[in-house]
Amino acid sequence: MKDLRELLKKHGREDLGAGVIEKGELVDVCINFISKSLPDLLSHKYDLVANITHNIPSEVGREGKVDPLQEGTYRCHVQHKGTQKWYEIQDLDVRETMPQLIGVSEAYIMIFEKKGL
Amino acid sequence: MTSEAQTCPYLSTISRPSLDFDFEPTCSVTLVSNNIYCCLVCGVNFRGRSKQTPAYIHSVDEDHNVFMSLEKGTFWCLPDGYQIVDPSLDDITRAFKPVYSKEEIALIDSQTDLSRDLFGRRYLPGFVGLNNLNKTDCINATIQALVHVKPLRDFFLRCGDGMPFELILANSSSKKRKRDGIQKKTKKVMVDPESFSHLVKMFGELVRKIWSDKRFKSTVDPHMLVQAISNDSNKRFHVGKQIEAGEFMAWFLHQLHLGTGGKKSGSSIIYEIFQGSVEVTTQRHKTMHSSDVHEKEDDRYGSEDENETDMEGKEPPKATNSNEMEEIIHETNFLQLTLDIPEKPLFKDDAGGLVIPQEPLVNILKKFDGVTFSDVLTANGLQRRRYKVKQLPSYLILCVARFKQNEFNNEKNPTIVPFPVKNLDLGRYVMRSSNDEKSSIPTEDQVHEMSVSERCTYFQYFDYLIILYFKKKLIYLDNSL
Repeated sequence: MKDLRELLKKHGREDLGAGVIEKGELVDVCINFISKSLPDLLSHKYDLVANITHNIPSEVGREGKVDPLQEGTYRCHVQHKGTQKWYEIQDLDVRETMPQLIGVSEAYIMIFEKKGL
Repeated sequence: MTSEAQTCPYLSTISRPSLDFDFEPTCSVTLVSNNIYCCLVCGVNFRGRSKQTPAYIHSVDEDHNVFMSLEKGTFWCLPDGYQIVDPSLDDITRAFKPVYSKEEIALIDSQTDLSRDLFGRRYLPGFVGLNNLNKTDCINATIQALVHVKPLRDFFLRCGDGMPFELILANSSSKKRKRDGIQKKTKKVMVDPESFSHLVKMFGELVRKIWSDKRFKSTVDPHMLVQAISNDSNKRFHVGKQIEAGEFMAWFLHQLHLGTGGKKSGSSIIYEIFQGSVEVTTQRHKTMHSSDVHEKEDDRYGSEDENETDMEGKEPPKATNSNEMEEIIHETNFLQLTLDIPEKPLFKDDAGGLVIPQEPLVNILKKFDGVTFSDVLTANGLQRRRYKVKQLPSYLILCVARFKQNEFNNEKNPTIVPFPVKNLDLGRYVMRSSNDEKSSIPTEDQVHEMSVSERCTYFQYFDYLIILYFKKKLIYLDNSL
């Protein structure tokens, strides 16, 4: 709590936390403050637009097949801006996918877009 | 040949399903590649239009009469040799070379209707499959990724009609100007699609085909681009050989830059979109010809512990260390940032399986926070470098260094790098504008503040998923706050 007040002070807004006694309230105040100054924060926020992943079949690395680069395949995740849906494209195969899965895929190259362009 | 002769009795013989304009126009008889006409009845390419040419002979032999020039896109009737102008052929023209108006480009992202190809298959324009020509999936994936970068796509869609147009470049990439402090200087550049290199033209054509809603088939063949890539790279990137995507991306962007009229210092659409700059602080011994003893010492410093690096990190960047280290600061531009991930574990876990480690993106981005050192082996021995992003591009390409060459073969690091799909915050890696620049190394207080703000942004991160409430509660419970 003390730290939080310090923080507000640093940003010149100690008035915000002046009449607050409980910790929960102070946190709320801080959150409000942050969301108000959000446009500033947004200037360095990025959204994913495309993601290239590389997958290797599970048998690679055992007998015979040694080169993961030669055996593996690339695929690409891209988003349709109109519908906000994500698609996974591997060569001719295009299918819809969930954004939750993209964040944990074996990402290789990611292209991020600056917010508010 | 009369110009009034516009309609043709043979138009009904055209067989649209057999047409395919994705392949290199080469004469099927003489293998030459200029002045090619495509027979619209059987879809085969032939050279020439006058007597004695393969196209003419084909028209007489097979009784196929409608041809299309693959250079100008005009329609001809052979052997009679008159030009056909007929609105019913417009769909072929559009499938051959899609053209977009400004309004269409603006609306393309909101377009959600599925299109139908000649065979009744439905597809979403922009989300079509690319043929794999034997291990070219890396090229395909790279193309798909680049094609969905909005400004790049719009740029190439606009090039469709081949007319020069004006483009405003905001990024002044000449280093001198940057040093003078003039960051934003817009300049107008005339873009002439005709002057592009072959590779860029092929790429542009592919972009237009991928986003077209009037295609005859629902897939696109990148054959011509792959061919151009193979030629321009001297077979470094070639059909039948898997290539490393990071390496390819770098090469391809550079070629696009050169091909669209960019020079070493001059700007192009590529630099405009992808280029940022990073400040590199290199630490090395003052004496360039350091003896072995010195280098050994250096090694030890590197491996001693991390406190050492932290201590050094807190000093202002220009100060030289007491142990005969000097720091050199220089600035470089980048198109993509390469991120290192920790080595994969050598040992197997208790169950005998291989552990696939996880390393969040926030952690590996620490390379660029201006505090963490990374060791680089150079010709002069071990160097320690510190990176700080000076300017972020509007589109940032991050490349995770997954492949490593050892003595025998390539090795892949399977570490999973979880990252936020939305709201990746890079504010911490960017230098604050001119005034704060000197104090970019955080003090004790600032570090603390960072950890707090990190926690706060954390649940903004996750409000996309539903972890919001969970994190919020955690903050309430957390006593240390």
